[in-house]
Amino acid sequence: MKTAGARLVILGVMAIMIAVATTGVSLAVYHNSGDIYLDRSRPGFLPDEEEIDSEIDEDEYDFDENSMLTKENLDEYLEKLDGEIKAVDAYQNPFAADALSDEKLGI
Amino acid sequence: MKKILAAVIDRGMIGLLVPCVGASAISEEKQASVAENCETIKARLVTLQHSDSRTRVYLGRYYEIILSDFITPLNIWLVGHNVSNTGLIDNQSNFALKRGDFVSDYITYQKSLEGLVAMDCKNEPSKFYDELVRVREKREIVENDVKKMRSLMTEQVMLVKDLRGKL
Repeated sequence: MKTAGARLVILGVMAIMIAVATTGVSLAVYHNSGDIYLDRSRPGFLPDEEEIDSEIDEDEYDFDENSMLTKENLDEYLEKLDGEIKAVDAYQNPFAADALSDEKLGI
Repeated sequence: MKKILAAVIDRGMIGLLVPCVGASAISEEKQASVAENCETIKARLVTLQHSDSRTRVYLGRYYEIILSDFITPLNIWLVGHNVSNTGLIDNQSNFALKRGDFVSDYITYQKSLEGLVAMDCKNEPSKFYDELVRVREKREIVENDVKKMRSLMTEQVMLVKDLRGKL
């Protein structure tokens, strides 16, 4: 017969083992799913102050699916779409090859 | 007999070629440079990781906005009003597919870059450089995904202008 103290120790050890195992599984899923590469709350990946200031305008455009399709509606659509495309273009040469060149890395 | 001889020659040649394929193309001068500047190279790679993460989040957010606020609602309208426009429908599926490629290719690239940063460039500069070449290839794939996404945006504008012209 085990004493109550021994049982308590076994229970504690089991609880720790379960916690370690579930945390390990969670971290594996977090890493393998690629979510880790999108997580900007990690140390070193936090957004800059200027980046926070230039957050996307929350006053978003929504194409009204119930409206009539008129030239004016499409003009507005094109104007708003152009604004989003310009924002995409603001990032010049994203993932350009030269960022990993020998010269840039100092090789 | 000729076939057997040809096979033997082939295998012999393959045997000679295999070490060449597996060998690193890096010069001794570069190996020395990698080993010497190991810490600086790693620091630059980490900085690149951070800036890539920022770019990925930024672009991904705009791709999502363009798909969910512009491309999809317009197509829903077209379907709801029985207006046939296969170009816009195709563009939506191409946009969604390419966006998926961008997401997965970026993860593949980042995993490789992470592996590269963890490598011992001081003691294994040749291996490190070979891996760097592979990471470059993966980065190029992501760059091409971004270019394709941009061209699909241009196509959306052209198709909508075309639709507008028909009204």
